[in-house]
Amino acid sequence: MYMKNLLQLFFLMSIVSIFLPKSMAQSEGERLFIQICRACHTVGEGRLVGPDLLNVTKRRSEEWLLSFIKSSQTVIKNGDNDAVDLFKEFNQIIMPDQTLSQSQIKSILTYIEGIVVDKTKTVSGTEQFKLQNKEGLNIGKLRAEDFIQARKLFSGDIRLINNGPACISCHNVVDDNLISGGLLAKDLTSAYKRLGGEMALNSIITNPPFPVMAAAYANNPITPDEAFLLTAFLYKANKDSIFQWTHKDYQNSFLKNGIITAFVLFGGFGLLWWNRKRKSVNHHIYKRQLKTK
Amino acid sequence: MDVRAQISMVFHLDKCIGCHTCSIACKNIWTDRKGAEYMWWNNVETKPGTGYPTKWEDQSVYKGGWKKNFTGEISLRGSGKYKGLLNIFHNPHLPVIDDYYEPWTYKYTDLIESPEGDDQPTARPISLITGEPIDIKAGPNWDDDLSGTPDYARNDPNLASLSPAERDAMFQLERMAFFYLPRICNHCLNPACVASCPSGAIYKRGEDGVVLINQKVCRAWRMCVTACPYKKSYYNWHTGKSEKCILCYPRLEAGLAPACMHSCVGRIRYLGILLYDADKIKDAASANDDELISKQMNLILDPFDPEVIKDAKSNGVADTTINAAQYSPVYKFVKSWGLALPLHPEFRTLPMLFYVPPLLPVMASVTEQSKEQTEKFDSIAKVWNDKWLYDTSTEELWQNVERARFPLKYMANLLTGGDENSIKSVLKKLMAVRIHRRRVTVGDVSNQKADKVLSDVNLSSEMADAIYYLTSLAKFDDRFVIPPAHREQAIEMLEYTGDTRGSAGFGFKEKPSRIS
Repeated sequence: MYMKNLLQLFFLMSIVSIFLPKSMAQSEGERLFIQICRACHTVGEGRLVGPDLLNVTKRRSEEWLLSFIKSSQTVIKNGDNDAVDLFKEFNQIIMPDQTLSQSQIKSILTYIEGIVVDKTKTVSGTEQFKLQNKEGLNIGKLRAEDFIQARKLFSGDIRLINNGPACISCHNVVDDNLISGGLLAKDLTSAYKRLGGEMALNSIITNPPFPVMAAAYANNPITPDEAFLLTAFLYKANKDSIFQWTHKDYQNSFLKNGIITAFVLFGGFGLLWWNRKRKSVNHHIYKRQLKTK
Repeated sequence: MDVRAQISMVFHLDKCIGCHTCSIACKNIWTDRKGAEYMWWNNVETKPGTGYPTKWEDQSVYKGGWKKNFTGEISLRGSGKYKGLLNIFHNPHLPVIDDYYEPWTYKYTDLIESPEGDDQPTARPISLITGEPIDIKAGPNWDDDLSGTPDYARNDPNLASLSPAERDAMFQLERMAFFYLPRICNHCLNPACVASCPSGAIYKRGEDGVVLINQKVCRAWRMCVTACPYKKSYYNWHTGKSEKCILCYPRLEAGLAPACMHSCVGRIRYLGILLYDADKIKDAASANDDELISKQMNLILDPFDPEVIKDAKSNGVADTTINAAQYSPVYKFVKSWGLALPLHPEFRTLPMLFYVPPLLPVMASVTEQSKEQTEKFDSIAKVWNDKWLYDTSTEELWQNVERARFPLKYMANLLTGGDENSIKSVLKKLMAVRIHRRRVTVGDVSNQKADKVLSDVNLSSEMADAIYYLTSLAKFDDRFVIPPAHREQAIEMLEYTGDTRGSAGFGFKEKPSRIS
């Protein structure tokens, strides 16, 4: 019984730790891990978007870790086999480059090294956290009006409490009730599936690991309630995307329709003005004239 | 009967020598300004020819003038309320600068400032629009005296209804003939420019019918440029306003003849007042093609008719104006003698400038030089087997009018909207006057023959003498009968003059604003 309580406490703590303000972190390594890595990685709690980092310092050399964390894509492009395998294994999701100094990365690694997990309470890699809102409802149990509110939050119809930019300004989600979103960042229609579930999504929204997004919300953080709703919205968007009209190839049909409209328009003008005066009546006379060199 | 007065003109084409003095007089006074260089409010064209702007008569290109709908009403061909609104921002039928010509000057300093070289320095032509050196492509009279005939004269829109054989006959070297057509604004009774103006900037002066563009109201829509079938409204690209012939109204108001008329070397121009019935304008403008001329002539009222005088007076026409109308040379040419015709009446603007058609060399004979010449003739050409190349001198009285070097059809297309009978009767009258005067001065025409000629065309010998006098001997005051302008009355209609009348002359003077 004691163990079960401990486990529950641990889960509760881990959830709370996601929402903890960074000032409360203990060491620099821990603070940075929670702020940057925690969105996609756990230590000893199974895989999220990226792999479980338990004992990662024993599996890889420090040099490799340093270069991979600094810029994973550079390592992959340089043809490192381990890195390429890892990239493929995790659905080719790019780990964003980090603007961290050597010493900061080392402090994170020290933090990871220091975590010891009791072997007896292993967590299976596929088991997911279940997100709950304040009323204790899971995403799947949310009411329709909650989803509407979630969509309005995404589209900016409802302002984020801390005045952060609306998601739609950079992201697109295929949803008939939304105008098409920005092209500055990834399309989030299937983000739920791609990033491996609500927990990872929620982490990313709360603590964006992507430099641009992190900078955008640095002074206007998204609150836990908002993060929950946005996660819920993306969950629903993923589920419902095949039922959306705009799921069709929007950009190509825009081009196609544009060309057809141009033909109709110019054809119409052509018909309307078919007998208008196009050039000087002297044109053919002038054309015959000799020009000075 | 709504009797009004109209200053109108007669140009006697037989007398025009094509010297362009009128054009220069007008240019010097009115259009020697930036933006107006390309304008010729008065221009002289060689006919057959395409004129200025090129092919201005071809309304399938420029869409000017009025056309009659199937309902019998007339509407503007290229502009007007709805068509104008549809085209207001691009105005597709405007003549472009190449349709007129690109005005230029020469860089004369090249002549004195060029460095020493092997060849003579030349003054390069410089565009007056761009200021850059240009290749001169055309001038306003590029087809003067039939120059460039294949390009210009053969494309004369008036030739359209002539058969290829008739056209070829016109352009045989030995038969070729031409005449000059001086043109100014016609100050029409049914002006298309006034009807087309979206800003309401163009108006026809009430007291004398001069059509003017208010430069303060003009908004550069250029609908008048499209609408005027005679292309006598021009757009000034520098001031952004349209301009046209003002019939030298400041001179008219001072009792002087317009500059083009005053300077006319051939003394071909006549100016006088006509009284007309404004109630009949709509009817005359929408008449059938064959009635256009007669209905326009019926508009013009007899200034001696007591009824007309009474209605004119009640309509505010000044006594001096009525008096001037009775002495008007225009009334004599147009109505009393029926010698003058409007240019292209089929445009339905009721032009108030009338032309006495040219008789051209009707009696002429050229002796054949050699058989080789005959062989060069077109296969359809009439070839005389005797020694005469052509010979239009004849014992027959009227045959030569019909066989004139200019096909009647051509003259009819120009002056009567295609009606050959009207033009023939005018030419016959002109011919009759010549025969009559030959009897008087030379005496080799028998009295019997001359009298028959005159009675055939309903002219008395007194009338023939009067025609001869006004054509050949008329003095300045016979040619220009200009009534006092009575501007003071016209101004009183528009504004209250009591403030200035009788005052000491104190007031505010508005400085004339000129474009630098």
